[in-house]
Amino acid sequence: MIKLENIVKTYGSKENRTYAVNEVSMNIDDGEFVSIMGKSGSGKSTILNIIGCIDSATSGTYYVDDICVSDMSIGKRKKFLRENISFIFQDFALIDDYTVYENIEVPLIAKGKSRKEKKATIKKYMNMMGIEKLARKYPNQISGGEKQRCAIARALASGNSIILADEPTGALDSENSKNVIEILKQVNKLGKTVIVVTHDINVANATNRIVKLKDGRIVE
Amino acid sequence: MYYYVKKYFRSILTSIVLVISLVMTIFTTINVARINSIGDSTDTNKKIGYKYSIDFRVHKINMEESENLEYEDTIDDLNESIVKEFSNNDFIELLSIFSCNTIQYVEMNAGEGVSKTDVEMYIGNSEIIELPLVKGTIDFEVDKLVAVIGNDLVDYVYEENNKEMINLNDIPFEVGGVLKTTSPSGKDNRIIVSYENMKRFLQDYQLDRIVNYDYFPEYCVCTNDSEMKLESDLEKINEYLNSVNCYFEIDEVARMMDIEYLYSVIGKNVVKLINIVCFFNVFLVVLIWIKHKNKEFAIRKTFGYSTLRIYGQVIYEYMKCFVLAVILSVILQIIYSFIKSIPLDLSIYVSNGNIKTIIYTFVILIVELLVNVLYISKIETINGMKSK
Ligand SMILES: Nc1ncnc2c1ncn2[C@@H]1O[C@H](COP(=O)(O)OP(=O)(O)OP(=O)(O)O)[C@@H](O)[C@H]1O
Ligand SMILES: [Mg+2]
Repeated sequence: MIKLENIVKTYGSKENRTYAVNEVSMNIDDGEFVSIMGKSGSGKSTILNIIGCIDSATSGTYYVDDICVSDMSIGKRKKFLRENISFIFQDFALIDDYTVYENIEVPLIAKGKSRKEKKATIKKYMNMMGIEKLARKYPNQISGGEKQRCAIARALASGNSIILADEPTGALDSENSKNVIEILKQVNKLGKTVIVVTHDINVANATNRIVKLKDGRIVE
Repeated sequence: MYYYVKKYFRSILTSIVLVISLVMTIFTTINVARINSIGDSTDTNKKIGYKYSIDFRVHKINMEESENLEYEDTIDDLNESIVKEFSNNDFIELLSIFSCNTIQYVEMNAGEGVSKTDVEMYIGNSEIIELPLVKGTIDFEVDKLVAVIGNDLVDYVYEENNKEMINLNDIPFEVGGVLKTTSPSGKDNRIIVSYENMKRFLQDYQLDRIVNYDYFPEYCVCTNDSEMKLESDLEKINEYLNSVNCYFEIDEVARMMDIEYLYSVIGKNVVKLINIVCFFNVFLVVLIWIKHKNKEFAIRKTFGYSTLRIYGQVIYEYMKCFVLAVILSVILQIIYSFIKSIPLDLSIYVSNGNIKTIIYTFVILIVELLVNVLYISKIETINGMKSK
């Protein structure tokens, strides 16, 4: 279970301090499919990044399964990130110089998996996403929808239980968006906790719960 | 093909630029090392080929005061020791090239009459001797017997095959020109020939007499391939002159550089400058290369890669380019050596001082990478993700 308590994130010095996230507290159960909505600049990405340990809160505490993540040292937090969290981004965040196969391999290398294990895992998720034919292609050789499926395959290949998606359909057409929504639903059914930041009401409607943010605060 | 090249290099364009800039740096460093080794090497072949000239004067010391020192003996002693030690006439050449000496008893003959004449003899070449001429030029070619003569010797000139000739010790010389008389008496019995030609009509034993103290002080210009050799030659000369109570002075002011030497000095510094520019260039290219990888590193960080691991990966990819660049540079140097006929001798490049140069180069190239690597660790993951 993810538990945020009075998370505050500020930018700037005393005089012109901006609150990106202001006193946010919420709980997300294991296996939940949650969407975070709000206007641009309302702090959605900031919250997601704090949960994903690639950003740290100015104050407040953050627990996962009663382990206090916000108190962890940098090294420990990296380890926690490696073993629990996977990201999906709006711009796919694929490494341009790596093939689809190698991109999916990235989290597996981080975990120090054996060659055989890596191969089997990558194959499995490529098949699941229907991109097995693209293994040797580079990101600039495939379409946006394919890129996002590749990114999702990579997130799943890590085997982590928390999937964080920051506007995963933001750069896709409606066809591909629907596809991604379906995939995310499927992923959630695999028992993973999925948190989606989105502008797209269709995406939000597909989730179990919608959290609305305004000016860094939860409004409902 | 593209797939495998890409797999090896990852980012092809930046990697190729990196390899090229590394090759440029390593190649220029190799050549800086080669140029540096001139000072250490004693083998003339290995030198980059610069000339060095020096003017010096030979003096006899206290000739008047030392009564027991016989003048003739002194000369003989000197000549003897010279001939003994310098069987190949190196020393004589050194002392006499471009020098002015009075040689006695050159046999002059023209057609019927034969005459032994006292002649003042200049041995040298046109670059050094700039004497005014009545006609002709001072233009010596190595394999052509040419003499430039004074007024008084015109009587001995005869014509053959439409050419003006003069016999010196029975050897026919073409008359290249006639000197304009400068002496008030109007008497002029000078002969100018090149050193090589002089050797043909003066026997070796006569060569000794070139070192002649009638003309005093002796004025010599000697040229040599290198400063090093010249210094050692001068040392030898000094030894011998000391042993016969003579000494010589190096006219430091008159130290002059051969134009070729000057060029090589400029060339040497230009190479060093280019070398420094290359190092700077590598730094910039690595910076761009790292920036290109910025997003990749950020993505890796979102998957929990440790900074150390990311460093390792950068260093690994840099090393791939580096090793390739070293190999290419060596190949390039071998080709260059063939073109420039530089001997393929490792000792040229790895002499004492150069080991340091080479080590510095490698250290600098690695440090340049590490500085940039430290720079990436300063970039936060989120900002890294935003970079294109
Ligand atoms: N590095 C930063 N420095 C200063 N202010 C920042 C920084 N990053 C974010 N902010 C501010 O924090 C607030 C929240 O940003 P955030 O990126 O979380 O918004 P968002 O809800 O994700 O918006 P969008 O829908 O446009 O992605 C914004 O007002 C933004 O201006
Ligand atoms: Mg955002």
